[in-house]
Amino acid sequence: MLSKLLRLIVKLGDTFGAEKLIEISSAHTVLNFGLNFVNASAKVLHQMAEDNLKVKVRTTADPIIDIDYADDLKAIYPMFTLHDQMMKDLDQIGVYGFTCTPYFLDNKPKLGVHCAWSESSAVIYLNSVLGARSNREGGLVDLACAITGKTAYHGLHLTENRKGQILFKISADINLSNVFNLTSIGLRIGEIAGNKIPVIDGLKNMSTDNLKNLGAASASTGAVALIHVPNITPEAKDLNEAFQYDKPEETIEISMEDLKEVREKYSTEWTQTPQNISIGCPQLSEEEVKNLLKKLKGKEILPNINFWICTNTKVKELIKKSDFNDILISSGVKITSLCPVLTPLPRPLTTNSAKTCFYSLASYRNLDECIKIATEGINAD
Amino acid sequence: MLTKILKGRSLSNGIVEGEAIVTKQPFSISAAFIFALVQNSKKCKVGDRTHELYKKDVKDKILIFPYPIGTTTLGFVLLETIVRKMGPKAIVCEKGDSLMSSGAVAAEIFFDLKFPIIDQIDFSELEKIENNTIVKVNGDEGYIEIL
Repeated sequence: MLSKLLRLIVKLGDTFGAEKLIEISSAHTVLNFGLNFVNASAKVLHQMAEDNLKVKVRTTADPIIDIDYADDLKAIYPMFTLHDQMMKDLDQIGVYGFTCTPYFLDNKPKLGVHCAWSESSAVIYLNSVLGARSNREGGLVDLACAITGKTAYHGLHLTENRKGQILFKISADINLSNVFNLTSIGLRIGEIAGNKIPVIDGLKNMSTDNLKNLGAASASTGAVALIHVPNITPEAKDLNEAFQYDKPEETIEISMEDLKEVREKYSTEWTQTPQNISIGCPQLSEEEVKNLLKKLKGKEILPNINFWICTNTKVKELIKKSDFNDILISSGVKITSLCPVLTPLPRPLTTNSAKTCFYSLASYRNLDECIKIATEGINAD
Repeated sequence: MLTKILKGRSLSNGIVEGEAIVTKQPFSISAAFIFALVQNSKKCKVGDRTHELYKKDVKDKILIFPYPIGTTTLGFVLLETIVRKMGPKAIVCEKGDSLMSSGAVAAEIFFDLKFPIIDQIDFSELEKIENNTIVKVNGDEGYIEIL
């Protein structure tokens, strides 16, 4: 099995012009969903465990089902037929920590180090915000790299391939303090950039949490793995550095019209009151959860609606042990470590997440509207 | 009729022949195939409602698009469609990536199944191929032949 894993890495590296293999310092895998469409990969994973292979670097994995809500999701959980075996196998090879935001746990690589990550929203955060280096690996290759401790030296591992290509200018009339605008910008940029590297000019005071949210959108509508934001992301102290002192291939302005267009294009407009509302895809940071709970103070979720706050297990437990637990109880929201895309929440579904909206049939609304619908119903104006 | 050969780069091995289905839109393999996989469908109807191939059956087709997009489940979603023999027979595009290739390469290494992918053919040439044209994809040598 080990030789096959190495062959996989070498064959891909050869094809894409890698001159050598390099050591990696961290990995993240998407091969853990346990749904019935990963049978083939699950077999390979099981063989890795049977052969007693172990990961050589810190390796996390994407979110799994949240047993705390087994009753609420009893219609869905039987779909996860491979879950128990895959969890056993992942544990056996040394993978632990289940989240799409591993950088909020202890898997947070430093600037310039080489990694083998999958999970498109995590890869774009790793390259853009942390300045570490990973190609968009796939489930299996990520584990092959984790077990061998190596990846092929091509693509975004090379400095010259991290050069900005398309300059996006954000129209001055777009309110950038509205996160919904930022995630919609992400959807548009992904569509246009495709597999190129965008440089976004005009995003001031951008938080890393919002870069997470914008990046996840671009990695859904495109194959974007790295975004530079001058004066914010580490490889772009200014526009010149972002483009490595070259010129942009093209310059594109994003207008309010663009944002309206992508919202219409990707949102599924349910007319009924949603059965589920999910917030947090990618999973929310501790600060995002706290800010959301502050908004929910004194409010109550309607009894026929599940309002999910998706975050990692660490934040979930921390919030439950804090004073914020009172708001969880009084409002009736559900804090969870599940993935709202891969745990297919029954529809009608509403979300503020551009990524959930892209992959699920969900109505796409800003956070305040999601809260209003959750507490007052669909006819709330 | 003369056949036309378009040379590209082989991303994975195998030689197959089938009907072309061509789209100018980049293609999210995860968004397109997961629904069919979950339903264990005998067909491979594209499940991505934002795509012009939405609801079109691409089973046994030679799927031609500019480049892949979307999340990184792509590799094992493609692998699963190859192992279940429920998806297209081959993929041809202008710019592939190691993520998409990984599904096909893993199929050969772990399951001894070949699924050719060719890239580095200008899309201006690929888009001239009409739907249902018979195309031979030679992943061993890196070219396609329009029959």
